[in-house]
Amino acid sequence: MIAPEPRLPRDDEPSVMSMEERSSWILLVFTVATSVGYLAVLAPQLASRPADEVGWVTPMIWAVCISVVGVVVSSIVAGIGTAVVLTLRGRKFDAELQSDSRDRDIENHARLRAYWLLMMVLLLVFVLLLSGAAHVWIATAFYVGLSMHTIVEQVMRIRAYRRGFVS
Amino acid sequence: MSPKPTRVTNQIRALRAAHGDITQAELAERLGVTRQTVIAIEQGKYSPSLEMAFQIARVFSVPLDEVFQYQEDDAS
Repeated sequence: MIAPEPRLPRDDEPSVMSMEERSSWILLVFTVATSVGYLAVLAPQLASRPADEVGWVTPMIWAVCISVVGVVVSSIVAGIGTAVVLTLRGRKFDAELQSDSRDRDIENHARLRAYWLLMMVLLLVFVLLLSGAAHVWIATAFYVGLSMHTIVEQVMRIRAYRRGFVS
Repeated sequence: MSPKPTRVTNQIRALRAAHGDITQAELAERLGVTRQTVIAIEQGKYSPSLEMAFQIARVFSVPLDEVFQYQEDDAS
């Protein structure tokens, strides 16, 4: 049996979420979950023992690994899943899932608006280093700060996709 | 409903209808963008680059100002 030629969607068919917006949602979810998880593991230790004795390395490695692997695997699964669903509906998935100038404009828009936070994080880490703070505080400030930066950037991107923006 | 972030309005939907009911996806394919981008432009949620604006006007064979209009601020 010959499969019908893939077709373009009609105007009355719902449009799919762009791959970039989907990636932003995935990155947002994993960043929030892993940084909250890291802090949940670390907080009881910080409350009950000296900072120098807190075991922060293993929780941080787990948090980073879960985040990276989770984002990569989820993005691949979401991309393949969307392409399969569109193909089953007879639609040209490559036309609907490609990136274009709007995606790049939104990425630049969000990156510029989250940039100040990245600078604040680096400044905070620098100050902690100069003040001779315990490693756990420096590492945690760096990790949580970068997570906050990622969260703000992804929220800006999702907001631009949902509500629109003018570059 | 949130306010539109741009004062630029457009006649793309009407022009699509006037040119043989070109679908959003067909216009997107001719412009080399996604249908989501055409939808965002039509709804005033995204301002295309000047180059893309000229491409849209060329698709419909009309001058640029027949596709896009700038809404003056009544208060000013």
